[in-house]
Amino acid sequence: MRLLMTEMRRLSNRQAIHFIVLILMILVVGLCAALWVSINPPSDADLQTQEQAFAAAQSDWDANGMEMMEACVNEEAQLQAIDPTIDKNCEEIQPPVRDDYVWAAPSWDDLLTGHGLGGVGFLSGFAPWLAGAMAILMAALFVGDEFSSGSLSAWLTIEPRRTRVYVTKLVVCGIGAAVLILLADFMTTIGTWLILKINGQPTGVPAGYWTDVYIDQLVGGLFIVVLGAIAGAALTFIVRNSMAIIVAVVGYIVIVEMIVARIIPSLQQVLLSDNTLAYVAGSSDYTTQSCATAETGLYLCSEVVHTVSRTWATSELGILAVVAIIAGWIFFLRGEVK
Amino acid sequence: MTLDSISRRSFAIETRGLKKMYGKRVAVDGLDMNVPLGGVHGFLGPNGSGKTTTIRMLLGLTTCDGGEMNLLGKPVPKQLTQVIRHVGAVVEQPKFFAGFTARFSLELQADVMGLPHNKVDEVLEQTGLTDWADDKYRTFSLGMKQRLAIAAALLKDPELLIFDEPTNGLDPGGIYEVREAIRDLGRAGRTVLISSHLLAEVEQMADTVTIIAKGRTLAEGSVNEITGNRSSDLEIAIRDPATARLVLTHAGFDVRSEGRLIVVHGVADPANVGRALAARNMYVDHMVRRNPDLESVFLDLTDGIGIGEMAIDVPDAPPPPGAKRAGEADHPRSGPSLGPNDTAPADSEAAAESAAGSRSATVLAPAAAPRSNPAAAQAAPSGSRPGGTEGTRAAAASSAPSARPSTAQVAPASPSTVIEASARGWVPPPGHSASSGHSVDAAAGSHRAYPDSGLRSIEDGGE
Repeated sequence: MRLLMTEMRRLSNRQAIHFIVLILMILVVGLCAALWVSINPPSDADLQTQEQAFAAAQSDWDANGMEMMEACVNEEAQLQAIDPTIDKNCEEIQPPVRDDYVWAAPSWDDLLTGHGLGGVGFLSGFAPWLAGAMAILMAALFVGDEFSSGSLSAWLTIEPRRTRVYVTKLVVCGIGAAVLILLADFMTTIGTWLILKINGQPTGVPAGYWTDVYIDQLVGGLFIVVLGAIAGAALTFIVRNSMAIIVAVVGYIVIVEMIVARIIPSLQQVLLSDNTLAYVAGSSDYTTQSCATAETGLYLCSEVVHTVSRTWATSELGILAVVAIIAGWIFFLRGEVK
Repeated sequence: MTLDSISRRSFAIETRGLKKMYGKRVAVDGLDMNVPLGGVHGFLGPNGSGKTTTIRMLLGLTTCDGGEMNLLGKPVPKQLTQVIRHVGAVVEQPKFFAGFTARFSLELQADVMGLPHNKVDEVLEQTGLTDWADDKYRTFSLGMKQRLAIAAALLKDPELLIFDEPTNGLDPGGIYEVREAIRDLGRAGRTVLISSHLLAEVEQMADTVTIIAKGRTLAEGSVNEITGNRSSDLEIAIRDPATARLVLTHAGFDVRSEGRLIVVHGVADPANVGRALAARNMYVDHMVRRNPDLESVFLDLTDGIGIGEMAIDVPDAPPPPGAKRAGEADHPRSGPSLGPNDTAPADSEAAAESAAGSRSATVLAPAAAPRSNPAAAQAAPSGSRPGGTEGTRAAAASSAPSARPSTAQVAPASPSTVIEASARGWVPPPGHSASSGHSVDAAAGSHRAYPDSGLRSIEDGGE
């Protein structure tokens, strides 16, 4: 406990951690500022332009809407004569909606449902995976600097039991990341509510929202953050360099999440972003295209929706974290500390 | 005092056959070291000789691949947790977070050890950092950083302090500060191990030393013994130096001229030089012994194995039965050999007492056959092998026996090693001039004319 408390004190006084707190605060302020801007109506000129755009779309629909609809239905019928399974989704051709063209102040409910998750903060809101990535970054900076500054070897001349040191550092990283991200989440949520309130927007939520939805997703997000911090710390014990971890995280996001996953869509089943979302929200969907040549000779593609379940996400994230923790422990136990 | 009475606890640090490999590279190769309790012990060796690796092994910062280690009588790493509370260490450079103040850095360490924070003030005061206690580490000069590291090491109030290259990178002022601090710690009764490749500096601080190269022990003992017990150059002023040089050369001495002076190289007993000249009715105006310093001893010791040449790769050859060791008397001796001017007491206990009491320096030659040194061999007058009768011992380091104290031990060696080491005797390498001349009585001509502070420190510390 003495070691844990000292490590907490050490962590909270580290400049790298202060830097991360600063980044989080900038993000919180940025999100609130963006909401403030979006909640205030645009200028009269802009509103007029938006109204004009809506009127033009409405006129176009009045003039050609039915014609477009008929053309679509006819084409679909012709294709279905060849292949009855073909669906051109003609029902999606709809008259223009005013809210799509002209500014309207968002409500609390809009914001919550707009994110697809039950909150507006980091954990419960738009980016639990971003919160997880930040937790990894924080842990990597904390542990990596211990190696690069050499203070870990000095530390080991005071407490030579490496397993103790290792476990303590992982726990401290987990606690530290959870506290920081939770704080950022609360600040964003409270800030959003205040901005809506000040601007006279509706702030009501469905009954039981806070207890049933928000808390559930907050706990899920916290789990991701703690897991990320622990795994990040463990990985840094292997590579012993915070920069290497940061490069690896950024590299993973750019190469795997953004490039490889587009080339191989089925890879989304194991992507950390999808699994993180699935864990927090209960499930996560992704689509792949299924293409084949029909008996008629036409090459037809259809979208297939896949679901990443929370069970799958828990297993995958858990296994990855356990592997990282064990590997880090072995490396630290057997390796030389300079 | 008998050998048995010198328990493991008599040494602050002991290593036996310590080994460390990095892949195929041997970093530490069967290192034996004994650091007596109390005083300052220098751990000398060139860069890359295995000093830091040895210290890191002792502190559990890296694993060892063989051998035994004891810290304050406890085997490590097995019982490191029990003993670490009594060991303060600074390995390589001081290591603190740049953004932390001196006080905060020390408070964290005190917290882990459960020490009150007033202990922090105490060590800050002790190291003269009170005025900078609340300054950030990054603003410190190298000397202040080193002092902070020493303060951290002192927090535990340790019995044993280990400093790895403590003056590295310091300016002369900083070196002086650290040197004084280390001296004070030694005087206060603590055991201080300082590793360094700066021999002259260690000579100013250390009471005892271990000299290593290529991961092996070359010599161990008090500074005075290691330097003073060895044959040295003799500077002679005489009316007719040219004739004197001829006379001495004819008598088998290695002589060179230095202006009006002649220098006789590798002299074990100055009286022999005096006699050789007197036999030709030549009398010296003055005779000064140029005692070797640690640097010259070190250069001599490492000359044979060649720094930069992997002499350690040569496998040890076991000595043939009955092979004599350098300086060994004709009669067999099962116990430890003795210190300077040993007179081989009849029974082994007496021998042990003599060894433990005098704590003579042991010089361990590398197991690999050293390069031959014909000049030195030629210089050795027959019947007066330099060093051989004055406590210098040649042995194969890797096969050193485990009995203690090893400072009085002679390990068996391959015959070639023995012969080479004996023949080399004390021969400073070309271009190296020995320093610190001390006048000696030419008739007496014995190194015993010099005070031996190393003996004092070991004996005092051993209690």
